Amino acid sequence: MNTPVLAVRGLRTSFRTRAGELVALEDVSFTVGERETVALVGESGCGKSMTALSVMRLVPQPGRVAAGEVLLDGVDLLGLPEPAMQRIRGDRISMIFQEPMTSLNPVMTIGDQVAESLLLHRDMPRPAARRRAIDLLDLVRIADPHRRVDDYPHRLSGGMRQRVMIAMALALEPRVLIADEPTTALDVTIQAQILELLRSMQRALGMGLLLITHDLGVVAQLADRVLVMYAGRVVEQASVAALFDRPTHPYTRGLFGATPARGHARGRLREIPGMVPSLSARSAGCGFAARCPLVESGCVKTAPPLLTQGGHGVACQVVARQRDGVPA
Amino acid sequence: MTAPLLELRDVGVTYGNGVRAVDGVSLTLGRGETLAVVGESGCGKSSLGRLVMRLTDPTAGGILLGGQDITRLSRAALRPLRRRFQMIFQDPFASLNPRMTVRATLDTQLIAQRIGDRRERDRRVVTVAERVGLDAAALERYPHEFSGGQRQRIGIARALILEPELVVCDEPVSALDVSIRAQILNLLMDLQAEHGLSYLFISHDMGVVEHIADRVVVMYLGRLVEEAPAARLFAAPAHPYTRALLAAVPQPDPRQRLRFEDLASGDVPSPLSPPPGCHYHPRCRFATEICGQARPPLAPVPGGGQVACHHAALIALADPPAAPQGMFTAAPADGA
Repeated sequence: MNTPVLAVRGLRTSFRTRAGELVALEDVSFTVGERETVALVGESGCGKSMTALSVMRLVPQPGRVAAGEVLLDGVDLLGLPEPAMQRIRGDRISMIFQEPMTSLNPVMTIGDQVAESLLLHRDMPRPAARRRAIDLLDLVRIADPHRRVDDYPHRLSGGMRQRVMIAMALALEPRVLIADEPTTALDVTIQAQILELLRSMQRALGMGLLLITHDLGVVAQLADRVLVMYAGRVVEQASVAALFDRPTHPYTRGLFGATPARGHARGRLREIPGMVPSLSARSAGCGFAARCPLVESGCVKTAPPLLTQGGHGVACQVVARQRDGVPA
Repeated sequence: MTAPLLELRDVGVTYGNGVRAVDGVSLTLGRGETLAVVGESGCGKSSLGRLVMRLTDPTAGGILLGGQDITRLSRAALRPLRRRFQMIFQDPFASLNPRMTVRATLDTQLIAQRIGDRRERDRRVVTVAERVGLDAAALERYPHEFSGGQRQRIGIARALILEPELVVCDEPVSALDVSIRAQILNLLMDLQAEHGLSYLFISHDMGVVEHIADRVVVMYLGRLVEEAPAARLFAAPAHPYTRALLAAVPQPDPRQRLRFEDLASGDVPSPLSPPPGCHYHPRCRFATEICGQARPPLAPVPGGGQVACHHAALIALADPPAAPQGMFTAAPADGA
């Protein structure tokens, strides 16, 4: 077990509104080790992207990280003044997004965009930064990088734009890369290429990868460990093998049942009734209680803690009792 | 033998910029059948759906609905036929009038087709809304008040209220979360069983397609490259592109990691200047000289369906598709 490069502890992110404080994340804790890929899974509104934004200290107003620690190589990012955080962002921890077109500057060549962080963070002279940008484009397997370096983003396909985004994010060889739905907007054959690229880049640079996705297939391809999130909390945490062998939280089981898998006979999929509760509709109890097939009266009173047994954590009081061998 | 519900005969659509969005596609769809149209961005699958709906006019070939040629029918002549074929869209929000309540949206469909008096229309509106899982209060609300899944239910109700025979579904679940997607897919399958509906199901998601389709057609840059019963297509894909498409789908199983030697290399070429011969040949690891010269004709495949590939028989013999397994083995050749 290597020491974590990123350790998030007790993260709580909330929004101050006229209707009171709305809690987007509650008690989110996890670590990402060197060369380790940790996936955050869940549906829209479960808090995956908010977790990433909290780690990057990019939570939009009127939101704020109200409690917790985000330790990057032991230094708490939440305690840093903003200028210091700016030096770390894009350097030691960087992020790529779902939609590469909206994240790229349309009036700047891709070479200038890749070189920008080298100029800003490393004070590299322009010619050297350009040479390095060409190397980076080559590294992410953009064909003919000497010519492509002077292209504008609109000249590139969606897959190539995502390669450019990856080149920008990796320019300073970050300790941690956060990839937020990096292949969701891409066609499936291009998605496969980008997944492979992410994996080989991670191995080459030895960085930690925090992968945010709704796609269990992508999780199975890349992740070493998985956190399943629901309504702002981590409801299950396990190694990828353990999670796929024994999905345990009722929500995780629901997600697997609702996902069409190859080779399965036609027929009805298992549904999860209802929908993810909105931020203002969350209760004090387990966030999944309203949709849960195992719900009991106690579930709506208090949110169950994440209890870990043999490295497999589950936040469910019904499961906890079954694990303890107490009859229902 | 009665005519198929839908038949396309060598249809083509060429847009003003010269893009052949649909290029000589023939297919049939039987009653109660689900035919999936799959392929990646720019393959022409959405153009094909719009063409069937006569939202786009074909520049070549013919469209037959229940044996009747509707290729050149005027809008006025099409109107009475519209109740027989309806469409469900990917983004129900963009396809719903934001100023109309759900009740008005559904009622308008009946009024346009001059169906029933006020009482009869009310009865039908309530019945269809209930069937798709919308409660009575929902009828008086506006589209923006609903979640994505609920909006898709409205879109389905709007298509269904006319009791159509054919529903063109254009990526109906692509914008939905996993748990909601399952709800909507189940609803579509139940409705098909109850009403004997035929679906032309346009999708890029092979997992969803395997789940819902009886037959599948695969398109690449406007052309039909393979057509097959779903079971044969998924067990033994015959076209190298179909194989690449299936191989690229990440499986929800950590023991089945992608086999990169089966993946397509590079990007889809621009539809403005598709490669000569077989459009797929620059990305194909089986390509030979002839592939760049001649368009391969569709030929029957053992096990059902047809494929447009010069080397399909040889590939099936020499390189049967293996069960997906193994780790990330080799880096993909990438000519992007």
